[in-house]
Amino acid sequence: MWETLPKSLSTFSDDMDKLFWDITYLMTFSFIVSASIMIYLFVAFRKKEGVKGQYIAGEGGKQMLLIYIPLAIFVCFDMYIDVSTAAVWKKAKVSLPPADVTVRAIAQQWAWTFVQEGNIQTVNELHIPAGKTVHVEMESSDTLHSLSIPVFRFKQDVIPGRIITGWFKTQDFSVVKDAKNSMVARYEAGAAQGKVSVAPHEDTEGSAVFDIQCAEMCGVGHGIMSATVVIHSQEDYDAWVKTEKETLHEMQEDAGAAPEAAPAEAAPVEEAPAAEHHG
Amino acid sequence: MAHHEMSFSEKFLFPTDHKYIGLQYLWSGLFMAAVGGFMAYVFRMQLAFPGESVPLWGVVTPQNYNALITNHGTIMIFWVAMPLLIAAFGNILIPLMIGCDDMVFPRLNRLSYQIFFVSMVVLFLSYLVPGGGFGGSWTTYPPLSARAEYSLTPFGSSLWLLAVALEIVAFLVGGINFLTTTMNARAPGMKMMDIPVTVWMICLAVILFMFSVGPLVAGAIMLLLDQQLGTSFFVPSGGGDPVLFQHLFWFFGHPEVYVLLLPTFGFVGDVVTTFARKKLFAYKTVIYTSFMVGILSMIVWAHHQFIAGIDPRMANIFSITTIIISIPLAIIYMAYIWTLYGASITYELPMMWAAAFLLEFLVGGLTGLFLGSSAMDIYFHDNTFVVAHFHYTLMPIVFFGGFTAITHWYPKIFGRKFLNGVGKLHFWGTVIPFNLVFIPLFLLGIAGQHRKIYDYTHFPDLMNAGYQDLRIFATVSLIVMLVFQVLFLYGMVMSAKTGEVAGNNPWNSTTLEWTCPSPPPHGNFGATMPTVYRGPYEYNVPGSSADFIPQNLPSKA
Repeated sequence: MWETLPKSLSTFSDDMDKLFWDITYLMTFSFIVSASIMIYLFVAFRKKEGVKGQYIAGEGGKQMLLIYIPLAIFVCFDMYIDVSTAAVWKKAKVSLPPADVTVRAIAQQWAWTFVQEGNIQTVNELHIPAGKTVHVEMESSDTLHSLSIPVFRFKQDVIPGRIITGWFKTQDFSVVKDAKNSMVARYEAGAAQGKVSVAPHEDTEGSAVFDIQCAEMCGVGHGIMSATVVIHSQEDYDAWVKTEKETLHEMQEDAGAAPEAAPAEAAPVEEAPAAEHHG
Repeated sequence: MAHHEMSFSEKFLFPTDHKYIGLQYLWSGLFMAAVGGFMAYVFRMQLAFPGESVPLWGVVTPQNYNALITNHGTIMIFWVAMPLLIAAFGNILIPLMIGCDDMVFPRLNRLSYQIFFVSMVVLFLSYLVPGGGFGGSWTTYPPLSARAEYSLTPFGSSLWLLAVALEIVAFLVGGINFLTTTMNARAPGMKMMDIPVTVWMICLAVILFMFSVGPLVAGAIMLLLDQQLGTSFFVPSGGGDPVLFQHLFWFFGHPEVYVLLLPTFGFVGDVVTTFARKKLFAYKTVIYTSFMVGILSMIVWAHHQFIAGIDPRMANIFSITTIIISIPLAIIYMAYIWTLYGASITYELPMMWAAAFLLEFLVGGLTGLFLGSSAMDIYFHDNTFVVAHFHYTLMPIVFFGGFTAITHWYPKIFGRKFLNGVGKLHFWGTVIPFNLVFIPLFLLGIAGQHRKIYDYTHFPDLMNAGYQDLRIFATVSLIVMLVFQVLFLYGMVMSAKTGEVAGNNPWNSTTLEWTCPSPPPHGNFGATMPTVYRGPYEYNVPGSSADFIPQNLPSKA
């Protein structure tokens, strides 16, 4: 009944989950061994009539082995964690595979604005194609924020005055859609039992929608700074881009404004370079 | 040395006697713990029943919620943990344990508490000014904290910062006193390696505090200037750098964890040896390793900033140092565990608390390995897994450690033992609900729940079936735990009147504080000050018919 980690939908989230379970096994083992020894000692050496405490200084070489042998085992655990951490960290944070789609993410109190494909601009909805490498260029126009997408195991603090680039690539659309369907099934089963819950985000046929969080205290509205990531199938994404561009084009023609190639308007950070256009 | 009888004001209003200053800190710490606990009750109620009116508070607004979590954290660290573990027991125990009549600077000591008292008043004032209390989290990251238009608390944030700065000054003043006294006023014959671990650990904690607090004070002053004079030390639009503040803050903030941990290791060491009737296993190794903990703790700070915009390649270094710090801690820990081998343990109240500390802190320590891993921290940063982890370290450190010390030295301070029945009921009523509060937080954290959010209904993925049940369960457990603390207060007050009368040395312990009367008079040891002949934990010494040999008993020639 209890699901542990959320759905794992990016290319590095499985690595991170493996690391999580590795650490969990090592630490559970350490806990069980240490706690068992401790509880054994607590119980076995309680006061008995006529038995006195022993005089053990614990300073000699042999006695110190009691400390150093378990320590050596623990150091092996530490080293294993350090090495596997470095590998996952490198993949998720240090490396930067070339982008298929680039999105500018502008955080402000208390909403996210996403700009992509020239000048398509959305608020609190990040639209991305499944199975493509997405670069997110994050900036903030006021305080710290943090772009957190639990299903991707993606998180990055957003700092005013800087543009920080992060990346993720989702798994195939069918995997994403299956994951979402199982979340909906769980919700429906719970709702049938009358459990307090909120319906998952609604999808269309060609998309699946998940939570985006702001994970850094950003003021009074921090608790409601929610957004969604809309993962489209490739065809659905292309269709979405087309519709958005047409809408934008009509609006600009109505307003008699410059053609659509004009740079995006939302540039709250002055030193920010113009958004890169991919297409 | 003649010591006169003290007047009421010399005892309770403006004391210079270390024991009464210690008591002032003790009661202040307990009072603030009640305030911090009440705050936890209010915001946990909001999480369990979002939007509903909370009994004794009313509807919790987002501004309320942020101010409550901010001040809960600040109060529990700066106004509960610090006064309880370091100031109260440092003041009461250091002169008694090293065998002198008072601190070397009694009036500086009085000043320390007076500044501390002012800091409490300023903190409460920060709630009453227009805009309300500061809600930018206890880490007070700029630019949110640096500009009123972002935080919406133009006066609250500055008063909060001022209160913290004053509190730090109070502890610096007190710390100078602790170190000087321990260095210069030890009883004749007490060598460095004859000092009880409690005194060692409090002094190491003070040294660590002094080394690490400078950058924080500098940061706090710059932040205050940013707030009130519009400078831009940490505001990017004026050329400042918000990440710099994070470095300054955590350069202090992480050692601070060990500043709190070390004194509790000290209390637990003294209690375990007394009730196990055993010499401390590897005493010298424990002391040397504690130095290592202190040094290492100063090069791990950036593990709080893995994803805060530092160069990602730096993370590897801090990940390694963070995981390395588990090694000296494991050594100290195992020394304590092996002290129990071959022991003859009696489970009086202090020993129960010490045992609970050793078991529960293990969970806190081991879950730290998840967060020391930079890759896992991508997922767990600002997640309730972190909240559960540090409560599993700090609750055992501050409260289990605090109760260990209170119940152990209660007979010395008040002349009577803590009521046994009340104490045992309070013990189980605290330890069991404590686990039931924070295990759900681990589970929710693993499921992706982020921190500092006043209403999870905006995040449907965190509101799937079953999650809210866990939140309610944690809240109910918290309320049960808080109710049992009333019992503790009852015990604190009533034991002094009706507890079993304790002689000088109710636990048959070896250290010097048990050789003077309970409670000790002004001047502590009366006409003859003690002389020390041996180390602190001589229990069941081979060839001696006695169960224990006090430090001040002359060796037979």
